[in-house]
Amino acid sequence: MVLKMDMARRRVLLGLPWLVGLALTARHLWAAESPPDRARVLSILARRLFPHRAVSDRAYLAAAAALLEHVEKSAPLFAAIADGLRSLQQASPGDWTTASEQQQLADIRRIESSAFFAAAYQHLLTSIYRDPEVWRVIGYEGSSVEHGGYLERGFDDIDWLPKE
Amino acid sequence: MSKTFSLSDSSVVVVIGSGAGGGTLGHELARQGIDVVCLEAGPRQEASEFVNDAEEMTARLTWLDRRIGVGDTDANFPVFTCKTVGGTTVHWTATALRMQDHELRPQTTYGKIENTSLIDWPLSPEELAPYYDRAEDKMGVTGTHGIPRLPESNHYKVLKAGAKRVGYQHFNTGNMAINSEDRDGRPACRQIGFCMSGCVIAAKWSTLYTEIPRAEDTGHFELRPQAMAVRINHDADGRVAGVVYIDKDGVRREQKARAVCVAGNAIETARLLLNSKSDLFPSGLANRSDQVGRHYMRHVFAGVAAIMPGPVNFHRGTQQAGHVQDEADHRPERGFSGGYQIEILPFPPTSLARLVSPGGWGDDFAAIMEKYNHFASLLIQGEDFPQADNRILLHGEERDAYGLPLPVVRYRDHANNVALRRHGVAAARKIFQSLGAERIFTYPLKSATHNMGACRMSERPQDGVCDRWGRAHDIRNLYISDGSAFSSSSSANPTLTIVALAIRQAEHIAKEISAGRM
Ligand SMILES: Cc1cc2nc3c(=O)[nH]c(=O)nc-3n(C[C@H](O)[C@H](O)[C@H](O)COP(=O)(O)OP(=O)(O)OC[C@H]3O[C@@H](n4cnc5c(N)ncnc54)[C@H](O)[C@@H]3O)c2cc1C
Ligand code: SF4
Repeated sequence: MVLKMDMARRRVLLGLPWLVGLALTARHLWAAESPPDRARVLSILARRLFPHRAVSDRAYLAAAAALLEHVEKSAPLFAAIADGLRSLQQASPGDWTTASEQQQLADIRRIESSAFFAAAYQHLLTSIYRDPEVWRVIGYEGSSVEHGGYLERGFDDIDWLPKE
Repeated sequence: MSKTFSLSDSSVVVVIGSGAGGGTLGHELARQGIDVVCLEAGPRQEASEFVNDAEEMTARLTWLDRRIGVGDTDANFPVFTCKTVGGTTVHWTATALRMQDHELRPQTTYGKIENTSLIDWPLSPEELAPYYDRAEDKMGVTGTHGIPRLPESNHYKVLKAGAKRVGYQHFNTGNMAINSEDRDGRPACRQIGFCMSGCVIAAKWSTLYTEIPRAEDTGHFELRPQAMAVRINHDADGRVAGVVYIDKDGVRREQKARAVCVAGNAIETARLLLNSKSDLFPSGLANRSDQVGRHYMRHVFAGVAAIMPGPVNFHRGTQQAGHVQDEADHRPERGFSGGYQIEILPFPPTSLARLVSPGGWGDDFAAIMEKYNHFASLLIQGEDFPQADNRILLHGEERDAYGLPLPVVRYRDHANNVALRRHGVAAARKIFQSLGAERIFTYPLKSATHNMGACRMSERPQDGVCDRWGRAHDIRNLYISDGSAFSSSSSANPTLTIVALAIRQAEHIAKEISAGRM
């Protein structure tokens, strides 16, 4: 029932001009929801999307938290995320976060063309690939000016090129 | 020792924009004792405030006011420019190449090409050469005037090794407007690797900390940041007389002027003229022959990235200091006209993630990203031919925060582009393959970083907007001072030519003023 109401409200909302107090509406809608653990679902989603084995759960949880914070500010985005979370939750009996990895991947594939996926993907990607822990794993070194650049720190240290 | 001028002072030259074109022109005029008011839509931010964070700096520097793309371009973000004092020279990667002589005579060189509006430049290579010399000296371009080239980075060494293997002969760390040694009061590059985020130590030339403060030092120059020009007014005789702008407090003001020079980076230049309709110019200022906004060019771009057999760490070091020029000439036997440059171009992880496998995820995607430090990446940048219908237009209804109609950027690839791009991509792949690349990715670059034409120079008024000095054919005291004045794109990155033309234009304006003609 909650679901139906939300859908109807969302349609009205999306039909309305941008004048609507978006932030307020978003928070209002959010309160009407009670999914078990949004952050946890999104963090699992983030890990399945960008599965770096050596990266700790902290990075994925942080990405999920950043997305949730962002969602609070936009009703359309909120609606998409709420929808997506719901469909993930409903996909597997019980708690989606504890479903098998295979099951989770199959569920994600099923929603790949949804608005939820598109929005979550962009945000999670940005957070994950801006995370210093992820950088260490993939070999990006981030800000360098405070270390005097790479002039004396390996800008020309390549050693595997053919000698000729 | 910055000066301030009154709004009613009609002896000033108003320069719109403080980037490569406007910043240089303003300084060159002020240096000669001509009073200049420079209107700049963006805020003033100093290099010392910049941080090594690509996303944050993009957010701080970029022109984010909406523009609409139609055709073979990004619909929401058709062009990539900056809105800040210094313009896109804060952001640029500082490759400073001259156009080749034959590229200044494209119609003569390439002959008739279907569906293009090719013309030769109304000035000769010989006339431009001394201004290229001055621009290179001003900007401290490496590999010119005895200025040493930048040292070889890992990324460049990959390009060099591959280029050798495939038999190329012309490659080096580029002609860069980046100090390879302390020069002109600015330090040598420290291979920080964030040229595109604004060079914190100011080793890279930008008008922000060269032309603009120097212009201010002359006592003949006033910069007004956060001043968005919305209209150019003219007098009863059809000579421009003032510029209406919206200041930082949202107040509309008009600065009177002796002459007006527009350097808003092609899109905004054309848009401002189109927005300045009047009884005398019902379809926009200087648009009697319906040329404003037309013949808009960018470059033919493609990106090729590869996972190399060993670490490259392409994020370390000057971002674009690596060029191959063997494909830059005109050899129609390759199946297309004009040529292309091959330049290195690294990306931070977020950008690489979006480019090499758009929408990608899962194990394979993560495996690609875990090879981040093995990546090398090349940019193919070819000549783009003018087409009358590749143009900047005003949107019928949609308006921006200043109340101005949104610009529409209409751009379609020419068949020549498709053939050139195919050739360029194959060439880049060969370079990587010769070194045993593990995987190669090709990606489009849809948002234009180089904007040219749109108010082009032409011998005849019916072919373009301005003459060989950048002076509007229709209006004697209105000048085009940015890449929109280009008659053709060439394969070279545009900024050195913009700066050379601005130096030349300043000389011309000074002569007009001292001869009492303006
Ligand atoms: C990522 C990137 C990398 C690049 N790398 C290179 C490179 O390696 N080599 C090269 O040659 N070029 C490069 N370029 C392109 C180069 O930055 C531009 O060619 C050059 O800056 C254009 O100079 P301009 O004066 O026309 O415009 P800009 O430098 O963009 O300056 C225009 C200024 O005008 C202001 N403005 C616009 N409209 C108005 C208005 N109505 N009122 C007031 N102010 C206004 C803008 O805010 C802006 O500050 C690069 C560009 C990008 C985006
Ligand atoms: S690499 Fe050189 S030019 Fe680029 S940001 Fe660093 S110091 Fe500046």
